[in-house]
Amino acid sequence: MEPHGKLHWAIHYLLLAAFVSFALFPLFWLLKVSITPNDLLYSEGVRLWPSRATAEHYASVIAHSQFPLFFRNSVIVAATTSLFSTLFAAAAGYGFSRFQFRAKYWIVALMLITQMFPLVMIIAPIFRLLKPLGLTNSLTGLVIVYTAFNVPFASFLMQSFFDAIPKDLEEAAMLDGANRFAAFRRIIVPLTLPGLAATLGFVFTAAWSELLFALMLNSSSAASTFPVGLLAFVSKFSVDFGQMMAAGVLALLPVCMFFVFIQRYLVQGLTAGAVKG
Amino acid sequence: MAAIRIRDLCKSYGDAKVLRSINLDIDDGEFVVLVGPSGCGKSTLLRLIAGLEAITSGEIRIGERVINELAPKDRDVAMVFQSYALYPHMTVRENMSFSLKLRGLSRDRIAAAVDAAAAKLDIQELLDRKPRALSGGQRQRVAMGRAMVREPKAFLFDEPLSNLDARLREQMRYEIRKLQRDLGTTSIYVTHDQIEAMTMADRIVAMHAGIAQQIGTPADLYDNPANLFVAGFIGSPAMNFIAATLVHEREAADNATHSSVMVGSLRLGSVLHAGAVRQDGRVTVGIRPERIALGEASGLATQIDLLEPTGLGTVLHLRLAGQRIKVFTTERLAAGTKDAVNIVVQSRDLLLFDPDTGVRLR
Amino acid sequence: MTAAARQLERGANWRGVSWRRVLLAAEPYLYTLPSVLLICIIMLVPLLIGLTYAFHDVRLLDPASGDFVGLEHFRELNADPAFWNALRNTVTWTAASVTLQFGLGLVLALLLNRRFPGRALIQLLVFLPWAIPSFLSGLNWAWLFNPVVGPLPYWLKALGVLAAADNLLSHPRHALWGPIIANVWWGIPFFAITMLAALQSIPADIYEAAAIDGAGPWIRFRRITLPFLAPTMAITILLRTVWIANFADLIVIMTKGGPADSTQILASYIFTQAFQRLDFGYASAVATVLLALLLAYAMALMVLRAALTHRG
Repeated sequence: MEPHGKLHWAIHYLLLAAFVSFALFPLFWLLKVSITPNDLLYSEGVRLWPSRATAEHYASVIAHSQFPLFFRNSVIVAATTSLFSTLFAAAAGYGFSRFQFRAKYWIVALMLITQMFPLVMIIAPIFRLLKPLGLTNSLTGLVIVYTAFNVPFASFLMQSFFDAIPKDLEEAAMLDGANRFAAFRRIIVPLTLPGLAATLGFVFTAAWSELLFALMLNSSSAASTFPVGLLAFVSKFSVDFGQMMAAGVLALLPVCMFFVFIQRYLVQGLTAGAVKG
Repeated sequence: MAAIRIRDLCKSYGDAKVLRSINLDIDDGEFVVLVGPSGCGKSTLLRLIAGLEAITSGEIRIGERVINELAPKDRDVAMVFQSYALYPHMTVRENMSFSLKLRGLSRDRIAAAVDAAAAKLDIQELLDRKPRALSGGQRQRVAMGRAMVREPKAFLFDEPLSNLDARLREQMRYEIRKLQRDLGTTSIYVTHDQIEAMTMADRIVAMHAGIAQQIGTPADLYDNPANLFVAGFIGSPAMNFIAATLVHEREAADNATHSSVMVGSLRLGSVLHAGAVRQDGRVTVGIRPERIALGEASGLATQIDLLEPTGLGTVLHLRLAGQRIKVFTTERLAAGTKDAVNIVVQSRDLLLFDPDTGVRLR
Repeated sequence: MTAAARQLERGANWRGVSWRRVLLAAEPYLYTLPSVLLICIIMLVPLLIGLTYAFHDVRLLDPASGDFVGLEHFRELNADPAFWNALRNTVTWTAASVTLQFGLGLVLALLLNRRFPGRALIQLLVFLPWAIPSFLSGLNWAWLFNPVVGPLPYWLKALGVLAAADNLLSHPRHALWGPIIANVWWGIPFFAITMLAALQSIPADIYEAAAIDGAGPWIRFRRITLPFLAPTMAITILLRTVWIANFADLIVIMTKGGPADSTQILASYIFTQAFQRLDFGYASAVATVLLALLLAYAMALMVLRAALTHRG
């Protein structure tokens, strides 16, 4: 590309700086309040950095509240959901990628429809479906529901990763003496590890963030996930901002870590999902 | 090793007929080449033999076994793909060991087989590399090694040299053929390149539009093509086809006729053919560029359109009675474009084809 | 050879077709069936059940409820000012969110589409909001708007947007902009990533040819970039519009639909009806209307697209 003048680059960096500030400022503020001691919170309100920093809010949150429980529940639900979703989606995605069959059109249409209707619409029926089965107020119930919600998008994602692998690799394996499933397991899956990682990451993030169904299906705090717990905490202790923000920062950590790892695959993954979807 | 027999093999995708009633007998140890333009069905035929696609009707036997419904893994054939299809996440050694591992052979036997094949192909130093670290020619050899190690009943090659540059292709042609002769394994080789077919095959199957147009030795197809397609496909530069008319000269024994071959008012020669002359006498005459001689004073007058020197010789593009023909000569010429030159044609080199069906008239 | 293979060779078959062919035909279904079953049970069946609730009196707290009431709920919502307000808000919410997310996302993608030192780091930082769970994004922005701990009320007053330094979220007329801004903050990365991937798939030699032909940067953008991006843009916008119209989380968290139902969109209204009033019947009726509107929107777009491709 042709060289650009200094003014061009100045504007370029200025705009980027604006975007970066916009992106990071809320998180920065969250962090800032979380380390501001209570006595300074109200007096120093709008300062960009507290005159004294403290870790007392984090200590309270971790030691005295139920947050560790909520955190644990969310990790269990999100991890289990991402595991099962990826398994189901890998199989379905492989099916979409390698086979042409009559029902394919209908199954794809079914999956697309599920991405389009308001999920709030099925909150009531799902509640009435799961309650007699004892799956409300349970992490298992959430895992089942979240897995169903995430399988369509994850399937399209996995399909695009499988599409990138040439079909003659399986054919070579089948001639070498493997049946299709063995070829899938031993040849194709190892080659899509980045895709599997990306899918695990996407689903984990989605399951971690889900609020409405967790709210609806759980009334006890024993089975609450992090979003529900945080919300309950917020409404009960609505003046203890320091602690709330510390809890918020803690909520960020798992997903931020995942994000940093899978950021590379995001561009690939999301385009495929968006265009296919 | 085994003989392969194909009977009345047909393949359709829905209403589209891709292969029509193929009949082919391949002897044990033979190297048969399926050649033809894109879309003629040669790759489909290969894949049917491999079991990667299902037969619509007909029968394939390897040895005495009918293999129609067998899974690829049960057919005991090995394939070398156009893209080589090497497993990217495995080393060369692992690639070559894969099939033997699936069979459950012991580690020692696997190692011995792999080392033997590697030695034969001269790829021992490559054994611990991954495919992405190999050049095109090296990958080709590894693909062959992977096939060899299994000692299958037949090798199937799907245009393995298409991805290589011209020099490398020449060399690999030689290596593949030599290797196959050493091993003595029945082989079926698909290509669109008629040079590969001519230089490598024991027998050629020339295919077009899903039909085996002619099956025979390279010399058969070159000297005695069965129809227009085979005549025009085999040999380079391609055969000249001239629109001409047959004029009855006299009757001959066995219901044959002597006729003159006329291009407009020019007489090319005299031919002996079966049956009588057609009502309108139209015929397509084929003559190979290398069979046309440049005459001095005698011969037919033509004008040069273009000269293509190839080093070995020159291809002259000429105009004869309004039609374009090519002549190939190894002489060095003094003539240039727009010059006039005379050509001489021997009657025995003229091949007659029906202008509508393309079938060879004998 | 395996026993099955030996059997096949002997010609074992079922109704004239070999076993193997039957199994081969069934293979794709084996791979896709688990997912399909799960989706049908958890999403399709409840969807159909949910649609029937719209025509029944279903209250969770009242075990005697469940009678068929016909179009009663629909008459109710027709007369419900909160419903119409929610409908209006849905349009505002969706249009504003999509426009801002898309516009800013495109600018960001264009900025990131060239090499410069520090690009990898900057890319990571600007995409970070996408990783933040939506509920946290909502809470975070709610706190930013809160005059007790947040800076925004003071800045908004300084900019003249607010008369006094109080919470934007308690102004019925302007409260919806709080969630909209939070949504934009959270949604820019998604558009930026998608646009960036699309931009990077445009072959470089087209730009080079145009530059040699004398086209300046603005013309190159209009004549090359935009047409290439158009299909991706269209699909992305379509999908995100539907998704955002359904996205109630931020509003539920930041304002609970208040003050006085002024920030309700249809999706959040459905949730509060179901969750707080536990009136599943009414909630389902509203949901049915929303679903019908979205289907109409999708179909209108498909008709439009068909018309455009026929003309083009």
